[in-house]
Amino acid sequence: MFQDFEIKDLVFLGLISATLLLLGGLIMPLVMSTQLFGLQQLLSAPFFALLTTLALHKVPKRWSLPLLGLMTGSVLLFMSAVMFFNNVLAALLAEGISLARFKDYENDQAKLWASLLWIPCTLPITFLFMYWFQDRGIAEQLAQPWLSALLIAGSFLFSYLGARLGASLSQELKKAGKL
Amino acid sequence: MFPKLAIPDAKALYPLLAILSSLLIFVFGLSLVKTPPLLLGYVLGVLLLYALYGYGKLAARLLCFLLPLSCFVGCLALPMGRAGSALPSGLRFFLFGLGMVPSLGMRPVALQRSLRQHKLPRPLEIGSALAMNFLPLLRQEAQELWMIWRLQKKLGRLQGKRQLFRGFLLPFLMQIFHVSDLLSISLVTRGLRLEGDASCYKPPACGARDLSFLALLFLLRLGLVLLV
Repeated sequence: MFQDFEIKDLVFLGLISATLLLLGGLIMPLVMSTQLFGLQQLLSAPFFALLTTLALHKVPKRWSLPLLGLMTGSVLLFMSAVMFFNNVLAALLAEGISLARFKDYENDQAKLWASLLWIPCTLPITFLFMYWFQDRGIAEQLAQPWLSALLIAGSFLFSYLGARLGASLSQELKKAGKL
Repeated sequence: MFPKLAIPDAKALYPLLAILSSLLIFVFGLSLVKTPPLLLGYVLGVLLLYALYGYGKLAARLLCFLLPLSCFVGCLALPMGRAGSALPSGLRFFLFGLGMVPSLGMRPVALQRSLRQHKLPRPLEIGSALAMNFLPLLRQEAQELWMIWRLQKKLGRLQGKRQLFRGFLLPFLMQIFHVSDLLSISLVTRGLRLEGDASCYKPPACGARDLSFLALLFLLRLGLVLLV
């Protein structure tokens, strides 16, 4: 599965996952126990999308995104199994959707789509985890439906903006000879 | 973050068991959130277990900022949801932090050896080791760049809407690329390879002490169930 990866790819993905953990560690503790469905995704979407776009520009290989999800998730596993599965399954789903449409990461649109879908893909997974393992029904999870709808739409929008910023940063880094 | 909190290997639990214990402490605690007296007994029991197994100092250090932070998280739930959700939110955060103690006390290298011992994929091993080891380095880089950015702003060298982008974000990313290049060269030079079997220096062993921690944790939870 991971035969195509070289050491430099793994090191880069490892550093990107460390950066994601660092940024997540600053923001997520404040909202991790919120009851509002979609707020966590809204706050994490922009920087996850930004850094994932960069990672996919540097390592445009199949399984890059699930590997990034695994690396981030394996550290999050110390804290919560839900966060691990959320990260890994959403990464698999996002890469699956993007590659089903574009076949590989040669196209810049494939990188953009995979990055912007990663965090929004955690929404249905979080919902199902809460439903099955924490006995929180649909009515309880979506107690404020309009606000949740707004937060979900916001997480898609923020994710898109983050991915666009990541794409423009990649252009700058290409000019600087770093990509 | 991790190296400062890690406790000596002789006292630390077997890495995979430490992760499992963290998970169980959190889940067992969650099941008691609705009965505060039992939860208090459970928390005290877990703290006693930590003290017995050499995690006392680490737990005390963590509690110093976990208690006020849990109160803050509970207060955050007030404007975001119902008033009744403040206490459960705070308690959930507290239990989450309390459960992290065995995982935080483990040295990254112990986990790496344990993963190697169980022949898990090498990319996962390298990635998680990097993600854990380089958090302090990245934090330091970010702090330094932030200070440089603020200084340049004060000196008037950065102006316009994109100053954060040019002054902080781009240099930070360039630094990540630079560190990544240096590290890969360093790993290749040291002979790291992805194929073939890897040797494991001092593989950690799961002993009676580790299993007794888990057994005592189950006994504690079982005792509280019988009290209900």
